[in-house]
Amino acid sequence: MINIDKKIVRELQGNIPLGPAPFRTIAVKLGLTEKKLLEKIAGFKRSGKLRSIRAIVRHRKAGYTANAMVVWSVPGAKVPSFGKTAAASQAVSHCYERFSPPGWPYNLYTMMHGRSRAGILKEIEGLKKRTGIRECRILESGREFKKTSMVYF
Amino acid sequence: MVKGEIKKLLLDEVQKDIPAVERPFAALGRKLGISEKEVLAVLKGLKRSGVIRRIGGSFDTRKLGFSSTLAGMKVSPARLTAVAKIISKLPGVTHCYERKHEINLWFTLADSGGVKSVNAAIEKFKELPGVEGCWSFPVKRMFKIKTFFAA
Repeated sequence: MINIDKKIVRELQGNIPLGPAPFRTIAVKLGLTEKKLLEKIAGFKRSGKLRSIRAIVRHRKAGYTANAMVVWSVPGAKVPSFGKTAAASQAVSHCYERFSPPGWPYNLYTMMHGRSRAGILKEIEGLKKRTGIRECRILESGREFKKTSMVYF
Repeated sequence: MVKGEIKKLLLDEVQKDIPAVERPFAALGRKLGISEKEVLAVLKGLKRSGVIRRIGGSFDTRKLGFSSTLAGMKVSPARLTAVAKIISKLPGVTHCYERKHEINLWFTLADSGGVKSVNAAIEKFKELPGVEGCWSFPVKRMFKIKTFFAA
């Protein structure tokens, strides 16, 4: 990445100023015109480097107090359909297929969030029924030691 | 005073996208029928109360040239807190949770030095006192990243 791009990432990876014209404030700081900065940001979005500029909530504080990582053992041929079905669930925030170390049979990972433990368990049962995959382990979240955003540069 | 219902809609809206335009908060306000000033006041309140952790860019770590993985660690219960604190100090670790399983500490790890650096870090962690095992579970395929929690 070129230097100015890194500088822009540095301004956006934390908090943008909560004022009427946050991008003008950032542009002035970086010695760019606001127009140039907005073009750069649009370019980051097009290339997929920047997913979006948005608010990130503390889900535990927003009422989602029941959280679990559920790991599933899904045969290769069923992975795409399982992924699609799991992704459609409102309770699932993240769904990944992952490489597994030897001795670990689980290859699909769903992060599940709900306002109650019972709600999550019910949704897991629903996923089992809809996907036909029964083999899973529920790894409920205990203490949160760190949850932050990456500081890239 | 902005009504609770509008606040909820705003919290939903700002989790999806804040447009990169000259007056982004005025644009959000127009959608909901409130002023730019009111949008900013609500957002500042939600940040103060801790519901909003951050308002800024959400980047694709890989596309910025970083390698990342999910790691799981088996730590003796007596050492769990101490090890979690050591792990959490690392800048490449953004999420670190205790989980109710034999593998009882799970965290994400990103590094600009490629897969080799990530794996080297994992090997290093195995030497920490109390750590009985540490495994990497890198992504093979992404099906969903939802970053939206309905208010």
